[in-house]
Amino acid sequence: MDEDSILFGIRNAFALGNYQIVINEVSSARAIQSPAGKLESQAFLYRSYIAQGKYNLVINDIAESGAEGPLAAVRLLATYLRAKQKNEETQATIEQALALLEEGANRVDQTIQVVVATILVNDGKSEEALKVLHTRSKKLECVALAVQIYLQMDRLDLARKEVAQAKSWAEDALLLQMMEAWVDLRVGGDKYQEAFYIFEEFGQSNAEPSIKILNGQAAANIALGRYPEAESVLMEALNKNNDDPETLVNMIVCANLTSKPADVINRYVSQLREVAPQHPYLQELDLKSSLFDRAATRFALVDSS
Amino acid sequence: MQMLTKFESKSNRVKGISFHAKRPWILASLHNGCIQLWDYRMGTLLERFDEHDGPVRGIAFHPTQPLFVSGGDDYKIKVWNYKTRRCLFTLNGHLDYVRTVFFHPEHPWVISASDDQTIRIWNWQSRSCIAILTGHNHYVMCAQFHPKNDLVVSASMDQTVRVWDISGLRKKNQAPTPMSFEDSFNRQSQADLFGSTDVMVKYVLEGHDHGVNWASFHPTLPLIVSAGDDRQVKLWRMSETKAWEVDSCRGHYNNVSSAIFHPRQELILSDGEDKSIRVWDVTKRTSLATFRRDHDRFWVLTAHPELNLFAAGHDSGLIVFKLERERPAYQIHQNQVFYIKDKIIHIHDLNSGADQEVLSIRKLDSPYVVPRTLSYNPAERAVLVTSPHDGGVYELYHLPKNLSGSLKEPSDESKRGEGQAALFIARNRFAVFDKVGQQVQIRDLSNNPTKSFKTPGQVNEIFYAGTGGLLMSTPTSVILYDIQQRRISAELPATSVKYIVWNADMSMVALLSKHSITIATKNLKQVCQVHETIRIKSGTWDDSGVFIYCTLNHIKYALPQGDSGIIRTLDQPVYLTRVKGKTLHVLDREAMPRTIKIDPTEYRFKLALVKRQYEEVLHIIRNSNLVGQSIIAYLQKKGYPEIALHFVRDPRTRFELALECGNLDIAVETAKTMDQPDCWSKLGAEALRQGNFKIVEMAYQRTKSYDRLSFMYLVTGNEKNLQQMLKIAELRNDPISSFQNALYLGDIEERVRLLEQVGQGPLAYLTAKSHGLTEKAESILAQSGKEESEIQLPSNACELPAVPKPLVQLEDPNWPLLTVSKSFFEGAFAAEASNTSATGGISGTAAPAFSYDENVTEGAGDWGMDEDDDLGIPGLSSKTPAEDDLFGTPEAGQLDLGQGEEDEEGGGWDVDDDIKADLDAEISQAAAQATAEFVAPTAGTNEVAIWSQNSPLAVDHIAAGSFESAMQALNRQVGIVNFEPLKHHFMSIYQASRVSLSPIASNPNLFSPIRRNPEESNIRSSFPVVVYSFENLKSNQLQQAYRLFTGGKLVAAAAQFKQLLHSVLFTVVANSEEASTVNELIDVCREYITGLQLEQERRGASGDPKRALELAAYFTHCQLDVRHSQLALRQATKQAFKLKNFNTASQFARRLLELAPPKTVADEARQIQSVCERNLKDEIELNYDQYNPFVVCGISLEPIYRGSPTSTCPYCRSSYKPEHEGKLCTICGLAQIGVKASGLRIMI
Repeated sequence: MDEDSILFGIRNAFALGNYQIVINEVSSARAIQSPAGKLESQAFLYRSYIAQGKYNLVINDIAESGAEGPLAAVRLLATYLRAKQKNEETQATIEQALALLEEGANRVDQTIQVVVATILVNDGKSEEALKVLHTRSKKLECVALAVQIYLQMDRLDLARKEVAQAKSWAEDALLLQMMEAWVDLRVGGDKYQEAFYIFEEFGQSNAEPSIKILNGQAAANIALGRYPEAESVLMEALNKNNDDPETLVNMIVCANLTSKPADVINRYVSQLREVAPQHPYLQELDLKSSLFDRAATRFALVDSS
Repeated sequence: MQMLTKFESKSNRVKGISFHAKRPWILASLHNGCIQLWDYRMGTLLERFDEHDGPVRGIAFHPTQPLFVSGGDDYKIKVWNYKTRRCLFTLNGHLDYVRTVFFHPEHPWVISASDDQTIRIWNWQSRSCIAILTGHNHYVMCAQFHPKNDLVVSASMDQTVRVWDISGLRKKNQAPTPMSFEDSFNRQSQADLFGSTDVMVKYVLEGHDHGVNWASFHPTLPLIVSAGDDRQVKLWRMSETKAWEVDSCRGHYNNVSSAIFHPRQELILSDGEDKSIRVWDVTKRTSLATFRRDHDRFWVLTAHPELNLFAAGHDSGLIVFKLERERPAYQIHQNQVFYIKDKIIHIHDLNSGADQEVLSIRKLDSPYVVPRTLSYNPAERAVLVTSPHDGGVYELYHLPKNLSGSLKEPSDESKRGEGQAALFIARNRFAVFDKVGQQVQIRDLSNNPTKSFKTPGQVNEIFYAGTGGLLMSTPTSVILYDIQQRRISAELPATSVKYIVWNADMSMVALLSKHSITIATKNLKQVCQVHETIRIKSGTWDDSGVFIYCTLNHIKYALPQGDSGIIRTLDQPVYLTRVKGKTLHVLDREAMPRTIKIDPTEYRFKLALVKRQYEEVLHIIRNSNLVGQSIIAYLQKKGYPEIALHFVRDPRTRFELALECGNLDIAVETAKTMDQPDCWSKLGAEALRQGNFKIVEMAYQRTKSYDRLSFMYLVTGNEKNLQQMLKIAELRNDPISSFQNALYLGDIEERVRLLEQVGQGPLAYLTAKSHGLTEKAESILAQSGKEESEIQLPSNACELPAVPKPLVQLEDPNWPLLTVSKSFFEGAFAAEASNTSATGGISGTAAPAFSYDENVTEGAGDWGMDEDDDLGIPGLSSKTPAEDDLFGTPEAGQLDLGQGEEDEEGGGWDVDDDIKADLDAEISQAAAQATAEFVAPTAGTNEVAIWSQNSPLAVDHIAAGSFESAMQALNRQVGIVNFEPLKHHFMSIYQASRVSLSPIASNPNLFSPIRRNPEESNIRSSFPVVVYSFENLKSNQLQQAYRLFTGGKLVAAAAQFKQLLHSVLFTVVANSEEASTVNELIDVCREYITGLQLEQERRGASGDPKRALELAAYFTHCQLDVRHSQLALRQATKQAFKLKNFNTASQFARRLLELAPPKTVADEARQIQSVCERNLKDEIELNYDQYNPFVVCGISLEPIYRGSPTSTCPYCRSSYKPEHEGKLCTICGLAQIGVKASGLRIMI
């Protein structure tokens, strides 16, 4: 296998969320000789570790100073996420990231852009993240992140435009199809089925379907009202990793929709609380729970007797 | 149109050919006088018949009997039996060459045409000539019966074609009375002398300018085709009264030898001495196709009576061919087969067997070309059909969404193009293969090319290979090609693969070539290969991973490890679509979906063996009649003698198998039944090897191996038996043996005695002397008459040899044998044998063996887990350094190299660096500028927010997270004030309002709202999904509540009804009809909750019988289901009766009886009633007037009679006494009693 196809495989595996495959591939591939290829594969390797939550490994592995731009950015991401996980101060890291962006041509380096934007998105600074991603022609990852931000901002129109534009040069790239599926799931109607087919196709590709893909399939199934199918896909995902927050969230949704007993649902919620106490879904639930209590008191009967 | 040659023979010139109706046989009569019988399917010469003298021109199989007839230049007609391979008899009569012979389809007649200008009809049963048809005045080249009517057509060198009426002959032949000898003699002589009057010329067809070589009838229409030396094929039509020439087909440029109608299509086939076979359109009389041969003139042409096959004889042999592929274009998707029959796309449902015509594709190409392939795209409900017409075309159709109704013609938007193969490769892409240009184009669904690329080599076919890939078949290999990267991902050597079959989950693929099947993984790793001598036609995967395939004449299976075998034979080739259990779904050559029953036992058995699923193996052995030498041989060969043992009854084989697997018990048992020396010796050897000395002993006894037996007793220390052996030896008169035994026993006296006895005096003396038996020694001396001094004994003293005694003496029982690890089967079978009460015993014995197996696998599982865990951190840490090391060296080398270069080039690099930095700065600046101009978009409207705008329903507001407005709505609509019990409903609805999508790595996840109207793609009209579907409430929750009630679980039932009452608040219905059902549901809940409250109260009020009876009475007035009302009434009746309130009791009993309760209950009620009626009085005065309608107050649980003031709950509509107004409703537990409310909205 030549370098290009190995890198191609790595990019696809990363896009599909097969992080362990990325790690294995990068660790075992010897054909990647060019410095650029090496750098890219290293960046994917460490980003995969971050995606698996192994922040310390990344922070220890990449030297604090002297690392090349993309790796330095990846290290910052790990630092940021670790700090956030521990509820520590993150401002310094963000400033470092923004400073890194100013160095040399870093502003147009895809990896650096994506990683810095990721930090910003995690910090709730969507607009700034979009700024970082501004120069993104023919940079699929940047486009994907931008689409995601647009969707989070409920700008479906912009997301669709972005996808349509990318279609003209990215052909049938996996990441592009994934964006399409995201957008499809927001658009609804016939598009639900299309999203389903996209995820199904991913699932049939060479490697084992990743949790990410299974969740996508489940989401499409739920959107289409096929709850039992969604449930079995989610079960498969839970078998792969029983602590994946996204799977648990979808499991909660699915359990509610299939009228599962309350204790089953509560168990999933507790499990989610265990593995991802800061998950936005939980935060919202807690928020709503207290909102409920507050609002309910306003109606409560004052016992006159 | 193409000629697909199925078989070709090399021989002398072929003048006549005939197909067998049923078997794959063809007869060829040769110019050298020989008749050959070929199997054209296998391509083998079966038989030669060599009795004619000179060329044989006419040949024909009998349609049903094992007969054929031949006619030759020796004027003879011979009738043969091909079973006995003999000529039965010869019909003599013709006076010149016989040109053609044919059997009549029904009558025992043969018709022959001869150069003696006559046609003769013979009865082959009576072996006599029954008619001579005279009229032609030159050689008659051909004469044939009409397949149905009483007609004969003949062609002659006199340039005419004649049609003869033979109905007279038929009438005569059917005459009921047997003919007298004279009659038949008369007729025969008459016929001979004057020509038959039974047969008359009906028409004489004139039109050919030269001699006519052939004429034949159309099988169904009144048409005749003839071929002549004027190079023309002529078409004639007949009516009742006349016949005329329709047209001529011109094109042959030499004599036309033969012309026939296509049995099923509007075609004429002809061949001739211009070395060509031509196909003509009957209606247009135009040439459709010409198939030329280089050197061979054609002499004859025939069609198969039933199949789509033709044969032609030429100068150097014969060819069997067909004009079209018979493989229907088809594809299987899930449970549906999409196939094309008669230019119509059908969908066949394998489960239901339903078949539906979907789309007509008549416009695709010429009517004589059958579509070749079909590729179905489930995502778009589109099909791609390819046809070999015009060098290959494809067309893309969209299947109609609504399948009902009449057959649809495709709308004009169908898209077509040129290409040999076209297939879907993804949801919205298909690949088109141009074989000539070796180019693959990828097109989208509007038929626009998106990209194209050259094939990586000479490619013959392309196939589906999952998304983004293509399988390409080259003459020597199959290539897995990655379309996106345009490179070869994998390659597997396999010659000229023609078809591929994927298994259900696309993990395995079978590559079918003409004579071999290669089974490979999806990454083209070969798993096994199977070779066939017969052509392979199609295949399908069994769910268990067995590949089922069929050749021309067999259905077979191939196991993943390479075993294959026959499942059953086939009469006709079929195309397999799916196998499910014992049913094989196929398409036959007429493209009719059929099913074939198969017996999957054998391959399942073998598969289970391969996969070591021994329990399954055992199950199959027990429950099927799987027997036969082949299975035994298979088992033995594959190393499962212990299983084979189970199948065999023949003792000899059993014995051998038992020895092979070391099963001594069975070996002994069988050896006993056979009782042959060689068995015993073999058994002895095996038993010795295993150390089972008891059996060794027995074997030695049986084979009379005394020496060995003695030695064995010696080593086992069995002196008693040794002594026995000594005695036996004496009886046998075998002094050597006796001596040996004596030696073993250390019995010196006996030895001396023996030596003396055999006349070895000196040895005897020596023995006696040396063992200190002085007296004996002296007596020996005395006997021999010698003096001691005369004997010289060896002087040097030495130790006497003595046989050592074994320390442990084994007696009767066998010594403990090594535990031979018993296989699963031995255990199972042994259990079966020892325990007649089958199952229990089996599981008992089999269990240990099995549990051991399980342990092993569990262990493996754990191991696997461990490894996985390790991967987490230690695995990596151990791995990374190694990798680093590996990489370290070359990297360092590279670095050095780079530095070296840098050193050499010196400053040049620095300059470049500067430029690069400048460039970077420039780019960065430009980017920064662009970014600075960028204004981030403002956030859009959240779909969730739209929900609360769109909908007046509380439930939709909850889903949108706007709990306050939801509560307000509920308060306004149904006066709800106590929201606490509803909290988990709120949370549940909110939880289920959106799904989470995994985002790009390390980013916060994406949420996607779930709609209850998924068909809607306009966000503005979106509504959230319904968690509490009305259907579920009605058919699950309510039923469950009923069940709890019936079961007497009052608390649980009350809770369930309350839950239901709460859930109803959040349901959404589509129409007012459903809305009113929801209201009914609320009423039901209220009644039941009230009733249950009454009943619970009653059970608590046992100290106050009056109150208890009152409560029971009120309970009977709750509107319950009839069955439940019965329960309430029965309860009340009994209670009233007990309290001697006979009047009330009898009223309850009457009401109970009105409800038609089950018999026992009714009897009881009648009894009570009859007792009560004797004394219609009440002991206790009750606050209960059954004639005055009332409702029960939810708090005081007292009746509120009609007309009295009440206050109601705005939600559940339960009634309360006015003094309770403003309190919380106890029935629903939610709303405030007496509050004004607008009513629940559950419909938009």
